[in-house]
Amino acid sequence: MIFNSLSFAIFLPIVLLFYYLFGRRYQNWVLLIAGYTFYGVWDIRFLYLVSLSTVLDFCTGLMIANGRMTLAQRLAPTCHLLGFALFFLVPDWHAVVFQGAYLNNINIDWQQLLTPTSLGLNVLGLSGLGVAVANIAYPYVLKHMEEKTKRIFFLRCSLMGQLGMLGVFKYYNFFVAEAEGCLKSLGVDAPSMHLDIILPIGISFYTFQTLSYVCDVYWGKMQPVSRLRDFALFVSYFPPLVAGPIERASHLIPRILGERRINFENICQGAYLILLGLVKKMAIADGLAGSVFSIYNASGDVGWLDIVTATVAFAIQIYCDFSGYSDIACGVSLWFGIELLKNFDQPYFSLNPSEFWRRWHISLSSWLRDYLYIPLGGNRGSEIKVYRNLMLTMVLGGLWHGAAWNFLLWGGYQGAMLIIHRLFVGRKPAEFCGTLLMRLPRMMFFFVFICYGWLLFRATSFDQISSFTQILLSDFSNMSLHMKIPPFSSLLGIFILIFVEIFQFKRQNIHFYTYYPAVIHGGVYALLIFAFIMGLSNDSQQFIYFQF
Amino acid sequence: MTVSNSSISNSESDNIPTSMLTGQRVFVASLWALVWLILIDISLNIFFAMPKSPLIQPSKLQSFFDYGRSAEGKIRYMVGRDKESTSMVANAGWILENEVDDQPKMASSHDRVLIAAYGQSFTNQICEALKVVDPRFELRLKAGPAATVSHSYAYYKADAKNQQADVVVLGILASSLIYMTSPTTATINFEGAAPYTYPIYKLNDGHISEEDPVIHSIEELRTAFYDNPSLWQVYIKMLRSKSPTYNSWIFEKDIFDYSALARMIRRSIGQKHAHDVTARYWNANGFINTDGVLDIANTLIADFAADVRVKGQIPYVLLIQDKGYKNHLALAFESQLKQLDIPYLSTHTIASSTNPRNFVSDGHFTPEVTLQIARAFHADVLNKIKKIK
Repeated sequence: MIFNSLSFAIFLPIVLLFYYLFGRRYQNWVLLIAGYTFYGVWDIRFLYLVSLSTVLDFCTGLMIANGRMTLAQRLAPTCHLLGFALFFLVPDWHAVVFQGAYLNNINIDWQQLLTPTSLGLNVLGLSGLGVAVANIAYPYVLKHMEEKTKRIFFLRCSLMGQLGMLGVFKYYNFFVAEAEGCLKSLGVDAPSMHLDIILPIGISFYTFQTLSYVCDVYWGKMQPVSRLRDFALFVSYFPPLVAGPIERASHLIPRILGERRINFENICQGAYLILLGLVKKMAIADGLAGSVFSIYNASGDVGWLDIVTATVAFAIQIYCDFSGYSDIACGVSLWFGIELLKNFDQPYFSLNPSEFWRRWHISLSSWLRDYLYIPLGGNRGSEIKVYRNLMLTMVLGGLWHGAAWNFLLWGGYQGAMLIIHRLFVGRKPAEFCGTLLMRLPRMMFFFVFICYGWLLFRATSFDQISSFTQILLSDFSNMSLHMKIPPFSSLLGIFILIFVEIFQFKRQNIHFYTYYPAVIHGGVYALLIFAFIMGLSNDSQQFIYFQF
Repeated sequence: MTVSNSSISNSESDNIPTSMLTGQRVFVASLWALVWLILIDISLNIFFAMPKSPLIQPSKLQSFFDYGRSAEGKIRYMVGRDKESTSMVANAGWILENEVDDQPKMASSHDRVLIAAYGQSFTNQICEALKVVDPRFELRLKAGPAATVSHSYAYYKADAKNQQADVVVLGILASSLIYMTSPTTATINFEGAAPYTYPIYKLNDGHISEEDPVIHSIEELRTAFYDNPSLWQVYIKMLRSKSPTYNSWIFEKDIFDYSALARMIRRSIGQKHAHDVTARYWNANGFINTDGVLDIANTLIADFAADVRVKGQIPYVLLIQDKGYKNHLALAFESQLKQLDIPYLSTHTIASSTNPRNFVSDGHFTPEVTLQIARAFHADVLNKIKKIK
């Protein structure tokens, strides 16, 4: 289920209806069920991974902080994990076939639907074994492990479990393929160890989210969550579940546990964010996708102008696609009275790489800063160590996006930019305080470097990076443009977005329109609705960050 | 204060004067939004209205804001009271048994070859390029806009007695194949709705039967619009009952046609409909035999080849794989074509349908690619015919 789909347009009002109908006491249950439904619609089997992640960090969090768990606290995760293993066991939705012109005829093959697969049986068996071992070992751990050892042991359990899952699903095949390639080049014929698995949607997002919880509990920054259902909601809260913002436990959990403010302001602001996000996604990003594809996925020759225009188009596409998702997630969440973390802050207004990373995918960059860069040493120590920390953080940040060399290269490029910037301006650069017009030349200059980064990010192969770079630097002879012209909706959407961003920047508030008279305020709504309606006709594309 | 893009923190929302966020203010702003939307709608209808006469070519923006008009609305716009006030597209593609035209019926001399081709613009372009490659070839071209195989087959049947061509070509376009489930392309391709009709073919115990499309010519259509509205209702009733791809929301004219914004909403629904329908008959792996479309198409091809051979002519099938369809037509028809020894050419072997550079913006092959295909076609045809070798 994606935000810009008809199914979500039906799903959301139903969830809101139940949410507002039930009192505060049951609202978290509504959100929890909604989260599992939202995620399970993609592939119900992957709910097991969400469950495993939830149970692992719920238990390790309690063991790190309290050193013990009550019987109820042990019973709940046991049932939770085994229950979700049953989901893995039974339903095969391919057994449900919709037929007829209006999908009004549903055929269900009950035998296929309810026949357990061998993989499902293995998962159930292993889950049962794991749960049994954990419960049997619990009294031993309680009796024989020292407090300090216990804390480190359970932190390691969590890190190994979470990163292990991420490693298997996201990176295993990549590293195995590379290793096989290396062995083959040395003349060693290794047997294929490739696993036939698909990447579960949003695994990088919820893994980082739960890791932040365990680390914060370990560092004593927050108390552990005592009820599984609250922690489960923290992991599976659906607006940011599959593409962020990567919520911090210290930010989201108090909002899950505490009172919520749902008022007219929240609803209006949420509606505006949803509308803005839909315009960014459907009118602009989806429209530009075909244009970018026509150059980056073409098999013929491309010229200098093609590469430049397609790369600028991709810079706009990825910003609108990702920030559009974040805007919708934040807007939807405001309707539940829960504020999410800020994820984008007009990144293309940046003047340097340091500022860019304070404005682009803020929830990831701040996560990397707090849980990787600072533990590595951060700004402390010699300059060489700082450069090492910067490079390592950005390369791993690149790898977070996916198991491919171009993401590593992109991360390295960002790290190099940060190091060069630090070399030039020193430890504490002065903030630029000029007007927007005065910023413009520097913004444009830095935008060129951002765009080259996007070329590395979008490229389909090393050969393409090499040939495109060569053309950009030396081949100005071919100035013909073969890129598919973006649709009117994208061009109009970009035009509207530029104005919206300028006013937003001037007012330093995304809700800038509230400062103007009602006639202009209404005009902003109308323009966005118009762009949204135009964008409805663009071919719907998957959100780019879903694959991460 | 920090710039907030994705969420508003408490401190930021507190900075917005509360008077600006009251219900009354939002209500007034919403009313203004409505006024602005109405003004936008009216402006679009005035400044980007379609030309009064369908004979005048609309601008790109005029076309853009008209894409969402219902198929019926578009067809009514195209068809005037007489031939002079009717657009060229409306006249194209009608299958007429005794069509009067100046196209050759047989080769003009013994060292010339007449090609009779039944297809669509792709087929026409390839055949015209063939003439460029070798001027000894003469052409008799019968086509419909984005015509499907059942239209081409029906056109061949109707025209067979009028021509004595040396080679008879059946052009099958990948993106048009699914139109054979309906007697008009407009039930799916509603953005480019063309009024011409053709029979729906069905298979009964291995034999072909056909459903009559009710309206058979532009004259009958004009009658249905201006003199005998009940005929149009019979046509709609037939579409509802016989075409699995019919959707009254996108086909039938209604009040939405008068609003530019509503038309854009209809356009998106139409595209969703086209995607859904296409997905029933085709996916990334190839065509699916839903409603027996592949069986029917194979039967039509076999019948076409047999009929042509009886007359001593050479049948030839052009499998035109347009953008994104890979080699899916070949996958669907190649085995039968080989089995029945029917000469054919699949364009994917010459110009990959997955390379966007092989196509111009309207989806046709580039002139260079068309010429390459024509050269391959030429070489193959020369092998088949003896008289001009």
